[in-house]
Amino acid sequence: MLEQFVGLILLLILGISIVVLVGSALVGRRLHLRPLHGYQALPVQLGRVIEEGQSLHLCLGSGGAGGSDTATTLAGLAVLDGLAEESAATDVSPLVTVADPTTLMMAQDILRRAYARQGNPKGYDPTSVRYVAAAPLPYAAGVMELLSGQEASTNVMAGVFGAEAALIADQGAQLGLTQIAGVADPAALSVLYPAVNHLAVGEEMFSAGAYLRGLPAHIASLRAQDIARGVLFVFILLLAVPQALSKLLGG
Amino acid sequence: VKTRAPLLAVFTAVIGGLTLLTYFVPVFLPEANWAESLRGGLVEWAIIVAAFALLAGVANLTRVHAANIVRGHSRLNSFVLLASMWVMAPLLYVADMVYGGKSLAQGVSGVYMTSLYQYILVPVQATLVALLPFFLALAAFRAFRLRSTGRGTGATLAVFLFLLTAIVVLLGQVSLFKPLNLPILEERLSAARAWLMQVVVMGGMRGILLGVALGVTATALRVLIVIGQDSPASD
Repeated sequence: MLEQFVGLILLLILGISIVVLVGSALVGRRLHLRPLHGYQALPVQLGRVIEEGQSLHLCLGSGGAGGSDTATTLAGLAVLDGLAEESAATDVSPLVTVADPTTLMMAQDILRRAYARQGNPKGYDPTSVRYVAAAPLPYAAGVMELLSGQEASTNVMAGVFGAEAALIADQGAQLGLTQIAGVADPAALSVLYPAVNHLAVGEEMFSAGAYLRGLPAHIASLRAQDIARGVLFVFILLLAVPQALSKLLGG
Repeated sequence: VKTRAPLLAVFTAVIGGLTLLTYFVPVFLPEANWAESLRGGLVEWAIIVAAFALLAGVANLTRVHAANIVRGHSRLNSFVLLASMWVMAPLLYVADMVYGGKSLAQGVSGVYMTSLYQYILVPVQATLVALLPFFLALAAFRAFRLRSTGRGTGATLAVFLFLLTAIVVLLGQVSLFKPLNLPILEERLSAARAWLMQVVVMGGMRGILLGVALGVTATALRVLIVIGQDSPASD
Protein backbone atom coordinates (compact mmCIF):
# COMPACT_ATOMS: atom_id res chain seq x y z
CA MET A 1 0.00 0.00 0.00
CA LEU A 2 2.84 2.40 0.92
CA GLU A 3 4.60 1.75 -2.42
CA GLN A 4 1.39 2.56 -4.32
CA PHE A 5 0.94 5.75 -2.30
CA VAL A 6 4.53 6.88 -2.95
CA GLY A 7 4.08 5.99 -6.64
CA LEU A 8 0.91 8.06 -6.79
CA ILE A 9 2.67 11.07 -5.20
CA LEU A 10 5.52 10.80 -7.72
CA LEU A 11 3.05 10.50 -10.61
CA LEU A 12 1.19 13.58 -9.37
CA ILE A 13 4.44 15.57 -9.13
CA LEU A 14 5.40 14.53 -12.67
CA GLY A 15 1.88 15.02 -14.09
CA ILE A 16 1.38 18.48 -12.56
CA SER A 17 4.90 19.55 -13.62
CA ILE A 18 4.23 18.45 -17.22
CA VAL A 19 0.90 20.29 -17.36
CA VAL A 20 2.36 23.51 -15.85
CA LEU A 21 5.49 23.41 -18.04
CA VAL A 22 3.56 22.67 -21.25
CA GLY A 23 1.27 25.58 -20.36
CA SER A 24 4.19 27.95 -19.80
CA ALA A 25 5.85 26.76 -23.04
CA LEU A 26 2.64 27.39 -24.97
CA VAL A 27 2.41 30.98 -23.66
CA GLY A 28 5.89 31.59 -25.04
CA ARG A 29 8.22 30.99 -22.09
CA ARG A 30 11.52 29.43 -23.27
CA LEU A 31 12.59 26.27 -21.49
CA HIS A 32 16.34 25.76 -21.30
CA LEU A 33 17.88 22.43 -22.38
CA ARG A 34 21.26 21.27 -21.11
CA PRO A 35 23.73 20.26 -23.86
CA LEU A 36 23.53 16.60 -24.86
CA HIS A 37 26.16 15.60 -27.44
CA GLY A 38 24.50 12.45 -28.78
CA TYR A 39 21.27 14.03 -29.97
CA GLN A 40 22.91 17.33 -30.93
CA ALA A 41 25.22 15.38 -33.26
CA LEU A 42 22.32 13.61 -34.96
CA PRO A 43 20.99 16.45 -37.21
CA VAL A 44 24.58 17.29 -38.22
CA GLN A 45 25.16 13.67 -39.12
CA LEU A 46 21.91 13.52 -41.09
CA GLY A 47 22.98 16.63 -43.03
CA ARG A 48 26.28 14.95 -43.85
CA VAL A 49 24.50 11.77 -44.98
CA ILE A 50 22.26 13.80 -47.29
CA GLU A 51 25.21 15.75 -48.72
CA GLU A 52 27.23 12.60 -49.36
CA GLY A 53 24.25 10.83 -50.94
CA GLN A 54 24.57 7.91 -48.56
CA SER A 55 22.02 6.45 -46.16
CA LEU A 56 21.40 6.41 -42.44
CA HIS A 57 20.52 3.25 -40.60
CA LEU A 58 18.29 3.42 -37.53
CA CYS A 59 17.90 0.35 -35.28
CA LEU A 60 14.84 0.56 -33.05
CA GLY A 61 15.69 -2.60 -31.10
CA SER A 62 13.52 -5.45 -29.99
CA GLY A 63 10.87 -3.55 -28.04
CA GLY A 64 7.25 -3.04 -28.97
CA ALA A 65 4.03 -1.43 -27.82
CA GLY A 66 1.85 -3.05 -25.19
CA GLY A 67 4.48 -4.32 -22.77
CA SER A 68 6.91 -2.92 -20.25
CA ASP A 69 9.15 -1.71 -23.10
CA THR A 70 6.54 0.64 -24.55
CA ALA A 71 8.03 3.91 -23.23
CA THR A 72 11.57 2.99 -24.33
CA THR A 73 10.24 2.04 -27.78
CA LEU A 74 8.39 5.38 -27.98
CA ALA A 75 11.66 7.13 -27.11
CA GLY A 76 13.32 5.31 -30.02
CA LEU A 77 10.45 6.30 -32.30
CA ALA A 78 10.93 9.93 -31.20
CA VAL A 79 14.41 9.72 -32.77
CA LEU A 80 12.84 8.55 -36.03
CA ASP A 81 10.27 11.34 -35.73
CA GLY A 82 13.11 13.85 -35.35
CA LEU A 83 14.84 12.59 -38.49
CA ALA A 84 11.77 11.88 -40.62
CA GLU A 85 10.90 15.48 -41.51
CA GLU A 86 14.28 16.35 -43.04
CA SER A 87 14.55 12.91 -44.63
CA ALA A 88 11.18 13.38 -46.31
CA ALA A 89 12.07 16.91 -47.42
CA THR A 90 15.27 15.70 -49.11
CA ASP A 91 13.83 12.31 -50.16
CA VAL A 92 16.68 10.45 -48.38
CA SER A 93 14.76 8.00 -46.27
CA PRO A 94 16.62 6.29 -43.41
CA LEU A 95 16.67 2.50 -43.36
CA VAL A 96 14.82 1.54 -40.17
CA THR A 97 15.01 -1.96 -38.68
CA VAL A 98 12.67 -3.31 -36.01
CA ALA A 99 12.08 -6.59 -34.18
CA ASP A 100 8.47 -6.12 -33.20
CA PRO A 101 5.50 -5.81 -35.57
CA THR A 102 3.84 -3.06 -33.47
CA THR A 103 7.01 -0.97 -33.76
CA LEU A 104 7.03 -1.69 -37.51
CA MET A 105 3.56 -0.20 -37.89
CA MET A 106 4.34 2.87 -35.77
CA ALA A 107 7.64 3.52 -37.57
CA GLN A 108 5.96 3.19 -40.98
CA ASP A 109 3.25 5.59 -39.83
CA ILE A 110 5.80 8.20 -38.69
CA LEU A 111 7.60 8.10 -42.05
CA ARG A 112 4.36 8.08 -44.04
CA ARG A 113 3.06 11.15 -42.18
CA ALA A 114 6.38 12.98 -42.63
CA TYR A 115 6.26 12.42 -46.42
CA ALA A 116 2.60 13.48 -46.49
CA ARG A 117 3.39 16.71 -44.56
CA GLN A 118 6.14 17.48 -47.09
CA GLY A 119 3.60 17.09 -49.92
CA ASN A 120 5.37 14.01 -51.27
CA PRO A 121 3.22 11.03 -50.19
CA LYS A 122 4.38 8.97 -53.20
CA GLY A 123 8.00 9.29 -52.10
CA TYR A 124 7.30 7.15 -49.05
CA ASP A 125 8.56 3.58 -49.37
CA PRO A 126 7.04 1.18 -46.80
CA THR A 127 10.04 -1.17 -47.14
CA SER A 128 12.37 1.49 -45.75
CA VAL A 129 11.13 0.14 -42.40
CA ARG A 130 12.02 -3.55 -42.10
CA TYR A 131 10.88 -6.21 -39.71
CA VAL A 132 14.06 -8.27 -39.29
CA ALA A 133 13.33 -10.93 -36.67
CA ALA A 134 11.18 -11.53 -33.64
CA ALA A 135 13.95 -12.12 -31.07
CA PRO A 136 16.95 -9.97 -30.01
CA LEU A 137 19.80 -12.21 -31.23
CA PRO A 138 18.39 -13.07 -34.67
CA TYR A 139 17.53 -9.36 -34.98
CA ALA A 140 21.15 -8.39 -34.27
CA ALA A 141 22.38 -10.98 -36.79
CA GLY A 142 19.93 -9.69 -39.41
CA VAL A 143 20.97 -6.07 -38.83
CA MET A 144 24.65 -7.02 -39.14
CA GLU A 145 23.92 -8.61 -42.51
CA LEU A 146 21.90 -5.57 -43.63
CA LEU A 147 24.61 -3.13 -42.57
CA SER A 148 27.29 -4.99 -44.51
CA GLY A 149 25.24 -4.78 -47.70
CA GLN A 150 24.15 -1.16 -47.25
CA GLU A 151 25.90 2.03 -48.33
CA ALA A 152 25.28 3.60 -44.93
CA SER A 153 27.63 6.08 -43.32
CA THR A 154 25.82 6.43 -39.98
CA ASN A 155 24.30 3.89 -37.64
CA VAL A 156 21.87 5.06 -34.94
CA MET A 157 20.61 2.71 -32.22
CA ALA A 158 17.69 3.93 -30.14
CA GLY A 159 15.25 1.68 -28.32
CA VAL A 160 15.24 -1.60 -26.43
CA PHE A 161 18.59 -3.39 -26.61
CA GLY A 162 20.45 -5.92 -24.48
CA ALA A 163 23.99 -7.24 -24.76
CA GLU A 164 23.32 -8.15 -28.43
CA ALA A 165 23.82 -4.44 -29.23
CA ALA A 166 27.58 -5.19 -29.15
CA LEU A 167 27.21 -7.31 -32.31
CA ILE A 168 25.56 -4.48 -34.24
CA ALA A 169 28.01 -1.88 -32.90
CA ASP A 170 30.98 -4.04 -33.84
CA GLN A 171 29.70 -4.45 -37.39
CA GLY A 172 29.24 -0.69 -37.59
CA ALA A 173 32.75 -0.08 -36.27
CA GLN A 174 34.24 -2.54 -38.77
CA LEU A 175 32.52 -0.66 -41.58
CA GLY A 176 33.80 2.65 -40.22
CA LEU A 177 30.34 4.09 -39.57
CA THR A 178 29.66 7.00 -37.25
CA GLN A 179 27.60 5.45 -34.47
CA ILE A 180 25.13 7.16 -32.14
CA ALA A 181 23.20 5.20 -29.52
CA GLY A 182 20.54 5.83 -26.91
CA VAL A 183 19.69 2.91 -24.65
CA ALA A 184 18.23 2.39 -21.18
CA ASP A 185 19.34 -1.13 -20.32
CA PRO A 186 22.54 -1.28 -18.18
CA ALA A 187 23.80 -4.36 -20.09
CA ALA A 188 23.45 -2.55 -23.41
CA LEU A 189 25.03 0.60 -21.97
CA SER A 190 28.09 -1.27 -20.81
CA VAL A 191 28.65 -2.99 -24.16
CA LEU A 192 27.97 0.15 -26.20
CA TYR A 193 30.12 2.57 -24.19
CA PRO A 194 33.42 1.54 -25.78
CA ALA A 195 31.95 0.91 -29.22
CA VAL A 196 29.99 4.02 -30.26
CA ASN A 197 30.88 7.66 -30.90
CA HIS A 198 28.00 9.23 -28.96
CA LEU A 199 25.96 7.52 -26.25
CA ALA A 200 22.79 8.81 -24.59
CA VAL A 201 22.79 7.14 -21.18
CA GLY A 202 19.65 6.02 -19.36
CA GLU A 203 17.14 8.86 -19.01
CA GLU A 204 18.94 10.90 -21.70
CA MET A 205 17.45 8.64 -24.36
CA PHE A 206 13.96 9.83 -23.44
CA SER A 207 14.88 13.38 -24.45
CA ALA A 208 15.15 12.77 -28.22
CA GLY A 209 11.92 14.63 -29.03
CA ALA A 210 13.04 17.68 -27.06
CA TYR A 211 16.44 17.94 -28.76
CA LEU A 212 15.53 16.88 -32.29
CA ARG A 213 12.15 18.57 -32.76
CA GLY A 214 11.97 21.00 -29.84
CA LEU A 215 8.35 20.10 -29.16
CA PRO A 216 7.00 21.89 -26.03
CA ALA A 217 5.50 18.66 -24.66
CA HIS A 218 8.83 16.84 -24.91
CA ILE A 219 10.78 19.74 -23.37
CA ALA A 220 8.19 19.99 -20.59
CA SER A 221 8.40 16.27 -19.80
CA LEU A 222 12.21 16.52 -19.73
CA ARG A 223 12.03 19.43 -17.27
CA ALA A 224 9.44 17.53 -15.22
CA GLN A 225 11.88 14.62 -15.03
CA ASP A 226 14.51 17.00 -13.66
CA ILE A 227 12.06 18.28 -11.01
CA ALA A 228 11.09 14.73 -9.96
CA ARG A 229 14.78 13.78 -9.85
CA GLY A 230 15.44 16.74 -7.56
CA VAL A 231 12.60 15.67 -5.24
CA LEU A 232 13.92 12.10 -5.18
CA PHE A 233 17.45 13.35 -4.50
CA VAL A 234 16.24 15.31 -1.45
CA PHE A 235 14.27 12.26 -0.20
CA ILE A 236 17.28 9.96 -0.59
CA LEU A 237 19.50 12.47 1.25
CA LEU A 238 16.92 12.82 4.05
CA LEU A 239 16.82 9.05 4.49
CA ALA A 240 20.49 8.23 3.92
CA VAL A 241 22.29 11.00 5.86
CA PRO A 242 20.80 10.20 9.34
CA GLN A 243 21.57 6.50 8.81
CA ALA A 244 25.14 7.20 7.73
CA LEU A 245 25.64 9.59 10.66
CA SER A 246 24.29 7.08 13.17
CA LYS A 247 26.65 4.43 11.77
CA LEU A 248 29.61 6.82 11.92
CA LEU A 249 28.83 7.85 15.49
CA GLY A 250 28.36 4.24 16.46
CA GLY A 251 24.64 4.58 17.25
CA VAL B 1 -8.59 11.59 -41.12
CA LYS B 2 -8.53 15.10 -39.59
CA THR B 3 -11.99 14.71 -37.98
CA ARG B 4 -11.24 11.25 -36.63
CA ALA B 5 -7.86 12.16 -35.10
CA PRO B 6 -9.11 14.08 -32.01
CA LEU B 7 -11.61 11.29 -31.26
CA LEU B 8 -8.86 8.67 -31.48
CA ALA B 9 -6.61 10.79 -29.26
CA VAL B 10 -9.33 11.21 -26.62
CA PHE B 11 -10.19 7.49 -26.78
CA THR B 12 -6.51 6.53 -26.33
CA ALA B 13 -6.05 8.98 -23.45
CA VAL B 14 -9.21 7.75 -21.66
CA ILE B 15 -8.27 4.07 -21.96
CA GLY B 16 -4.65 4.78 -20.93
CA GLY B 17 -5.74 6.95 -18.00
CA LEU B 18 -8.26 4.34 -16.87
CA THR B 19 -5.62 1.58 -16.93
CA LEU B 20 -3.27 3.77 -14.90
CA LEU B 21 -5.96 4.67 -12.35
CA THR B 22 -6.80 1.02 -11.68
CA TYR B 23 -3.33 0.64 -10.10
CA PHE B 24 -4.20 3.25 -7.46
CA VAL B 25 -7.83 2.36 -6.69
CA PRO B 26 -6.76 -0.05 -3.88
CA VAL B 27 -5.06 2.89 -2.08
CA PHE B 28 -8.47 4.47 -1.47
CA LEU B 29 -10.79 1.44 -1.85
CA PRO B 30 -8.92 -1.64 -0.54
CA GLU B 31 -11.95 -3.90 -1.16
CA ALA B 32 -12.38 -2.98 -4.83
CA ASN B 33 -11.50 -6.10 -6.85
CA TRP B 34 -13.13 -4.75 -10.00
CA ALA B 35 -10.13 -2.48 -10.66
CA GLU B 36 -7.77 -5.39 -11.20
CA SER B 37 -10.17 -7.30 -13.44
CA LEU B 38 -10.84 -4.13 -15.47
CA ARG B 39 -7.11 -3.61 -15.95
CA GLY B 40 -6.64 -7.29 -16.87
CA GLY B 41 -9.40 -7.01 -19.48
CA LEU B 42 -7.97 -3.83 -21.02
CA VAL B 43 -4.44 -5.24 -21.16
CA GLU B 44 -5.78 -8.44 -22.75
CA TRP B 45 -7.49 -6.37 -25.44
CA ALA B 46 -4.22 -4.54 -26.09
CA ILE B 47 -2.41 -7.86 -26.50
CA ILE B 48 -5.07 -9.11 -28.96
CA VAL B 49 -4.85 -5.90 -31.01
CA ALA B 50 -1.02 -6.08 -31.00
CA ALA B 51 -1.16 -9.71 -32.21
CA PHE B 52 -2.77 -8.53 -35.46
CA ALA B 53 0.32 -6.42 -36.11
CA LEU B 54 2.18 -9.69 -36.72
CA LEU B 55 0.32 -9.96 -40.05
CA ALA B 56 1.90 -6.65 -41.07
CA GLY B 57 5.27 -8.03 -39.96
CA VAL B 58 4.90 -11.16 -42.09
CA ALA B 59 3.78 -9.07 -45.09
CA ASN B 60 6.79 -6.75 -44.67
CA LEU B 61 9.22 -9.66 -44.39
CA THR B 62 7.73 -11.32 -47.49
CA ARG B 63 7.82 -8.12 -49.53
CA VAL B 64 11.42 -7.25 -48.64
CA HIS B 65 12.82 -10.74 -49.20
CA ALA B 66 10.82 -11.40 -52.37
CA ALA B 67 12.30 -8.18 -53.75
CA ASN B 68 15.78 -9.40 -52.70
CA ILE B 69 15.28 -12.63 -54.65
CA VAL B 70 14.08 -10.76 -57.74
CA ARG B 71 17.01 -8.30 -57.56
CA GLY B 72 19.54 -11.06 -56.86
CA HIS B 73 20.65 -9.49 -53.59
CA SER B 74 21.38 -12.02 -50.76
CA ARG B 75 19.28 -14.41 -52.80
CA LEU B 76 20.08 -17.58 -50.81
CA ASN B 77 19.40 -16.00 -47.40
CA SER B 78 16.10 -14.56 -48.56
CA PHE B 79 15.07 -17.82 -50.21
CA VAL B 80 15.76 -19.87 -47.06
CA LEU B 81 13.85 -17.34 -44.94
CA LEU B 82 10.80 -17.28 -47.21
CA ALA B 83 10.81 -21.07 -47.64
CA SER B 84 10.98 -21.55 -43.88
CA MET B 85 8.16 -19.13 -43.31
CA TRP B 86 5.76 -19.96 -46.15
CA VAL B 87 6.42 -23.63 -46.90
CA MET B 88 7.74 -25.42 -43.85
CA ALA B 89 5.73 -23.81 -41.08
CA PRO B 90 2.32 -24.20 -42.82
CA LEU B 91 3.20 -27.80 -43.81
CA LEU B 92 3.99 -28.68 -40.21
CA TYR B 93 0.83 -26.96 -38.99
CA VAL B 94 -1.26 -28.94 -41.50
CA ALA B 95 0.51 -32.15 -40.45
CA ASP B 96 -0.28 -31.33 -36.84
CA MET B 97 -3.95 -30.87 -37.68
CA VAL B 98 -4.10 -34.11 -39.72
CA TYR B 99 -2.22 -36.35 -37.31
CA GLY B 100 -3.53 -34.59 -34.20
CA GLY B 101 -0.32 -35.19 -32.26
CA LYS B 102 -0.51 -38.99 -32.76
CA SER B 103 2.68 -39.12 -34.80
CA LEU B 104 5.88 -37.97 -33.07
CA ALA B 105 7.62 -37.17 -36.33
CA GLN B 106 4.94 -34.76 -37.46
CA GLY B 107 3.43 -31.53 -36.31
CA VAL B 108 4.44 -28.33 -34.59
CA SER B 109 5.64 -30.05 -31.44
CA GLY B 110 6.98 -33.03 -33.38
CA VAL B 111 10.53 -34.06 -34.00
CA TYR B 112 11.09 -31.97 -37.17
CA MET B 113 10.17 -28.65 -35.62
CA THR B 114 11.94 -29.28 -32.30
CA SER B 115 15.04 -30.55 -34.13
CA LEU B 116 15.16 -27.38 -36.22
CA TYR B 117 14.95 -25.33 -33.04
CA GLN B 118 17.33 -27.45 -31.00
CA TYR B 119 20.02 -28.17 -33.59
CA ILE B 120 20.01 -25.01 -35.70
CA LEU B 121 18.58 -22.01 -33.87
CA VAL B 122 19.92 -22.70 -30.37
CA PRO B 123 23.55 -23.48 -31.44
CA VAL B 124 23.66 -20.46 -33.77
CA GLN B 125 22.41 -18.16 -30.99
CA ALA B 126 24.82 -19.71 -28.47
CA THR B 127 27.70 -19.13 -30.90
CA LEU B 128 26.76 -15.48 -31.27
CA VAL B 129 26.60 -15.02 -27.48
CA ALA B 130 29.98 -16.75 -27.09
CA LEU B 131 31.49 -14.21 -29.50
CA LEU B 132 30.36 -11.25 -27.39
CA PRO B 133 33.42 -11.08 -25.05
CA PHE B 134 35.75 -10.93 -28.07
CA PHE B 135 33.69 -8.17 -29.67
CA LEU B 136 33.80 -6.26 -26.39
CA ALA B 137 37.56 -6.63 -25.96
CA LEU B 138 38.03 -5.42 -29.53
CA ALA B 139 35.64 -2.50 -28.98
CA ALA B 140 37.44 -1.49 -25.77
CA PHE B 141 40.81 -1.57 -27.54
CA ARG B 142 39.41 0.44 -30.46
CA ALA B 143 37.86 2.98 -28.09
CA PHE B 144 41.10 3.36 -26.18
CA ARG B 145 43.04 3.93 -29.39
CA LEU B 146 40.53 6.40 -30.85
CA ARG B 147 39.61 8.37 -27.76
CA SER B 148 43.15 8.71 -26.49
CA THR B 149 44.19 10.55 -29.68
CA GLY B 150 43.24 14.22 -29.79
CA ARG B 151 40.22 14.10 -27.45
CA GLY B 152 41.73 15.78 -24.39
CA THR B 153 42.84 14.38 -21.08
CA GLY B 154 39.27 13.91 -19.73
CA ALA B 155 38.35 11.39 -22.41
CA THR B 156 41.70 9.60 -22.14
CA LEU B 157 41.35 9.36 -18.36
CA ALA B 158 37.80 7.97 -18.73
CA VAL B 159 38.95 5.25 -21.15
CA PHE B 160 41.97 4.49 -18.95
CA LEU B 161 39.70 4.06 -15.91
CA PHE B 162 37.34 1.91 -17.98
CA LEU B 163 40.14 -0.44 -19.01
CA LEU B 164 41.71 -0.49 -15.52
CA THR B 165 38.34 -1.39 -13.97
CA ALA B 166 37.77 -4.12 -16.57
CA ILE B 167 41.22 -5.62 -15.85
CA VAL B 168 40.74 -5.50 -12.04
CA VAL B 169 37.27 -7.07 -12.25
CA LEU B 170 38.49 -9.79 -14.64
CA LEU B 171 41.59 -10.64 -12.60
CA GLY B 172 39.60 -10.51 -9.35
CA GLN B 173 37.13 -13.00 -10.79
CA VAL B 174 39.55 -15.66 -12.04
CA SER B 175 42.13 -17.43 -9.88
CA LEU B 176 45.04 -16.48 -12.11
CA PHE B 177 47.58 -16.00 -9.32
CA LYS B 178 46.90 -19.26 -7.51
CA PRO B 179 49.50 -21.30 -9.45
CA LEU B 180 52.05 -18.52 -8.86
CA ASN B 181 51.48 -18.83 -5.11
CA LEU B 182 50.67 -15.16 -4.59
CA PRO B 183 47.75 -15.29 -2.14
CA ILE B 184 48.08 -11.65 -1.01
CA LEU B 185 47.80 -10.33 -4.57
CA GLU B 186 44.82 -12.58 -5.22
CA GLU B 187 43.14 -11.44 -2.00
CA ARG B 188 43.69 -7.75 -2.78
CA LEU B 189 42.37 -8.12 -6.33
CA SER B 190 39.33 -10.00 -5.09
CA ALA B 191 38.65 -7.30 -2.46
CA ALA B 192 39.10 -4.56 -5.08
CA ARG B 193 36.70 -6.35 -7.39
CA ALA B 194 34.10 -6.74 -4.63
CA TRP B 195 34.39 -3.04 -3.72
CA LEU B 196 34.08 -1.97 -7.35
CA MET B 197 31.02 -4.15 -7.93
CA GLN B 198 29.22 -3.37 -4.66
CA VAL B 199 29.96 0.34 -4.37
CA VAL B 200 30.91 1.93 -7.68
CA VAL B 201 29.01 -0.28 -10.15
CA MET B 202 25.95 -0.72 -7.92
CA GLY B 203 25.75 3.01 -7.19
CA GLY B 204 26.07 3.94 -10.84
CA MET B 205 23.60 1.28 -11.93
CA ARG B 206 21.00 2.40 -9.39
CA GLY B 207 21.41 5.99 -10.53
CA ILE B 208 20.89 4.98 -14.17
CA LEU B 209 17.88 2.79 -13.34
CA LEU B 210 16.31 5.58 -11.27
CA GLY B 211 16.74 7.96 -14.20
CA VAL B 212 15.28 5.40 -16.62
CA ALA B 213 12.27 4.85 -14.35
CA LEU B 214 11.66 8.61 -14.28
CA GLY B 215 12.09 8.80 -18.04
CA VAL B 216 9.64 5.95 -18.62
CA THR B 217 7.06 7.52 -16.26
CA ALA B 218 7.43 11.00 -17.77
CA THR B 219 7.12 9.59 -21.32
CA ALA B 220 3.98 7.64 -20.40
CA LEU B 221 2.40 10.66 -18.71
CA ARG B 222 3.32 12.94 -21.61
CA VAL B 223 1.67 10.57 -24.07
CA LEU B 224 -1.48 10.52 -21.91
CA ILE B 225 -1.66 14.22 -21.02
CA VAL B 226 -0.52 15.92 -24.24
CA ILE B 227 -1.65 13.21 -26.61
CA GLY B 228 -2.78 15.58 -29.36
CA GLN B 229 0.67 16.97 -30.07
CA ASP B 230 2.98 14.13 -30.97
CA SER B 231 1.23 10.80 -30.79
CA PRO B 232 0.55 8.48 -33.73
CA ALA B 233 -3.12 9.48 -33.43
CA SER B 234 -2.43 13.17 -33.89
CA ASP B 235 -2.58 13.68 -37.67
